[in-house]
Amino acid sequence: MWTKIAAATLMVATSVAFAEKPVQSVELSRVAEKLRNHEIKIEQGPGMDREHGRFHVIHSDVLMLDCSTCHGKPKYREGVLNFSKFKPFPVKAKGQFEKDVCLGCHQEGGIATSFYTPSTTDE
Amino acid sequence: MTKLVRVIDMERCMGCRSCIAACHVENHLTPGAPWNVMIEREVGKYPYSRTVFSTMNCMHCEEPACMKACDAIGVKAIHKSELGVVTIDYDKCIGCGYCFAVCPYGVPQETQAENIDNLFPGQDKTPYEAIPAAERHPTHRKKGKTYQKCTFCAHKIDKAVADGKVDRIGKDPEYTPSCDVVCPVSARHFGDLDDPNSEVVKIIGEKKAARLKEEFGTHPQVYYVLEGGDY
Ligand code: SF4
Ligand code: SF4
Repeated sequence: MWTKIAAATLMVATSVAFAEKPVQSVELSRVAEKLRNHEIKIEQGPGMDREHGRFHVIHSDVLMLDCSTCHGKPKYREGVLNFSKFKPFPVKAKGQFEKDVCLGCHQEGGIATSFYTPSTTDE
Repeated sequence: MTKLVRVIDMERCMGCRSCIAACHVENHLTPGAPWNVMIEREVGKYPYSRTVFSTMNCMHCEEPACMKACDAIGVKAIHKSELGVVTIDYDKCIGCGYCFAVCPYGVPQETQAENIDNLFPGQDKTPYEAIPAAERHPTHRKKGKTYQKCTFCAHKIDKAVADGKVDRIGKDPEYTPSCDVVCPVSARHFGDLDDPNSEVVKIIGEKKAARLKEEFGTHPQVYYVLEGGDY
């Protein structure tokens, strides 16, 4: 099912993933909205697995984000205090992911489900 | 109100890993799923180089991204208590890994099913492993294919609440996370941020302790006296 959806959104999302003009991210936000409204249905349940989990299906197959959007260098930056840098690097991974990338969409007011508040918010 | 926070002083930490060993024992850690890790790196250039040590554990964020993600998928396995302790309910967790994915610090760890039954395959269980599940604190009833992480030693905090000794948290070893108790050079402190006379408040103020990755707006309840630059 999601492959059909992916094909349908291909035109929009491909240009969006490599967005240069602001108007294109409006399109990305529309796809994100459709995901949240379940207009675009994903069969896979929550999970990180590339084939069987929603996470990569949504980000890679529906939103058509290139792997390199999130996965960068094979190592964490020197001196970054990140717990997971001590985990063995997954063999199939396309490179370690930089968490900062998530902020672009998942910060409050962004186009995706919000997990992060603006850092200036009063406590 | 009581807001529990930890302060880790990287200027004092000498990298002995006592806190990590204490956590392993106290919290029945299973291989591959530590709750506290040592991150060390070299700064400077030989012959003027030295090593900077820091331990990482859950930040018990005031705005926990992990909890928001878990709530967003309707599982609601992550809870933040009134005192600020963030815990995962292994009975509700479906092992999707979203908490790990969104945590800016990469904290939650998957429990490997094969690692929870016997630490030393082929040998008898250690006395810790032999403790029946029913007699353990819920955070110590590890389940395969779920996620686990530091709980600020929730079993001790819960005991302080049950004993009416919340004011002794950070002062009495039985009510204080074990990692903070064992540090031989007083590089770790635990206490109430809302108590202006607490040690943690003094250290945060005097040594200008900072929170990591503030740009995520998770407002961590762990502070670092940073040594060796920007993290
Ligand atoms: S550090 Fe990570 S796992 Fe801990 S409360 Fe914050 S977001 Fe959750
Ligand atoms: S792995 Fe468990 S605790 Fe983490 S988001 Fe998924 S269901 Fe929630």
